Amino acid sequence: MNLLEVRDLSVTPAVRPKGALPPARPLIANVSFDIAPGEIVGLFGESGCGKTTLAHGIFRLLPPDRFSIGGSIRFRGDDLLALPERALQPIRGAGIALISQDPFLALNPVLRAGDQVAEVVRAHRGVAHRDLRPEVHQLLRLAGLDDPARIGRAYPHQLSGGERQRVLIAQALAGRPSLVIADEPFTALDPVLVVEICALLRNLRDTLGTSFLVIGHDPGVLAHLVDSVLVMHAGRIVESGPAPRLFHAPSDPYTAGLLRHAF
Amino acid sequence: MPSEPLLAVRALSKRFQYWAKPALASIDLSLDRGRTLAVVGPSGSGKSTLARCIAMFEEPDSGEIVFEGQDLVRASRRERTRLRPAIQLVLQQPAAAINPRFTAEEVIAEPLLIQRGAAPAACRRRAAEIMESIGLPRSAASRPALSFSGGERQRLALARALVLEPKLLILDESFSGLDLSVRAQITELLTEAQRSLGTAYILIAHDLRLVARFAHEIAVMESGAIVERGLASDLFAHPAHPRTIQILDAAARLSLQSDPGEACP
Repeated sequence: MNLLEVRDLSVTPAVRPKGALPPARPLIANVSFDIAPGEIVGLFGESGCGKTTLAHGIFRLLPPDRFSIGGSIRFRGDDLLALPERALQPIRGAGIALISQDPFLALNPVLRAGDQVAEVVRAHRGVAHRDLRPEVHQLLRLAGLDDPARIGRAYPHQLSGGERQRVLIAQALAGRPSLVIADEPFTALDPVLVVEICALLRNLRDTLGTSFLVIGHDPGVLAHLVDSVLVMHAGRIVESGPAPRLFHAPSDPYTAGLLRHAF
Repeated sequence: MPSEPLLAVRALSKRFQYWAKPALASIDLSLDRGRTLAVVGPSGSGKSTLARCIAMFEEPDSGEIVFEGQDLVRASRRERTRLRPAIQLVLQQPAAAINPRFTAEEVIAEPLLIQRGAAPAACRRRAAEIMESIGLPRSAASRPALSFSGGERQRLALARALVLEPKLLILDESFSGLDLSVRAQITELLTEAQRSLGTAYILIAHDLRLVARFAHEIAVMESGAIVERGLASDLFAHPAHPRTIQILDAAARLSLQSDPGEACP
């Protein structure tokens, strides 16, 4: 069985801009795709095409009073769109985790990095207080941070960009999710770090069986990391397929056009 | 008389309180008019601190930053104010650099109003022109700045810097959130500005393919020092320092092509 099955997902803004006569254009239109356990899927497209909206839609972060959402999102068989808000809490973090776009903004600047990871552990797992610190250190180590004591004590501004991104990964793993959605996790990282983090994500997939949906706009990085790719344009999936084939021989003219700028 | 470089940095050093190591350790570099210098290196190597010192946002501890013959470190407040429009810095985070209550047009026109005291109508006209040249429709001029996507906001920040026609534009990871097509469009625009106005650029970037296309020279930084420096074509072909080799190797793995240097003009 697939871990995630998205069928005919559509997202349309419910509130029209003032004075706008034509009905609002859907942000996501009839999107369907699957993610298998342990699969790394890339979501590739230009800014404004709906990648982040799709990620937030899966995570049910789009307020229902502002967006009308159609279709279904089945996660381990449950339709996330049909679940009441209260039933979502255990899924957010412990079923699906989200690494949001900006490692500078995603961490609370006034809390120590370790406490921010501990908060997720406490929320989702019955870990005794005295076991919390070793658990946090283990998660930081899992995210490739070799000095968890120092990182755990540090405030976000005392960490480098790569360290912050790894803290976010540790935080995402803290609830032991089976799917991690990472929204542009490589922006602002140097190529050496990107290669390292790609290796880390693949290693986590191999050892923990975690699935990943990685959003990105750099075909080179996605080709290096993912198993299969979804290409998104104006809210639709225009092409999908295994990563190497799709990037080297795209069949959709839009994809081919995008890749023309890849050098 | 031999022509002096636009910018000459000599023995520039800077320490931050509570940091064991210096952020900048005796940096030397020079940049001529109409040229592009790329600064690459791991995060935390001092690239942004260097950019902020040159843009007069940060006080170095020692050393000189000579811009058009004038040492910015020792310049008076008044002189620095006069020089500010000539040195513009575009940051990595466009959202942080833009007043959320401004419209797109206000974001771009504000520097003209402040620095040039131009008539509001003329400012608006210029703002609309420059919006078009960076690929945003004129009709978007009156939209609030925060209604734009991340990539579009980054373009607004670039337009705001370019509108003053600076002699030196420092791009600190200004392209990292941008789509490849938009990036190609903006590098074209910047190359054009360089050709017609002789603008010099300092480009801080992680994307070596961009660097290979855009920069004439490259400086590789590590732990606050420049460990290798050379013409872009030479450095891609014959990297000497282990850090340079490591960066080039990683970039090659992330390229759809086998070698990032292939894109070198």
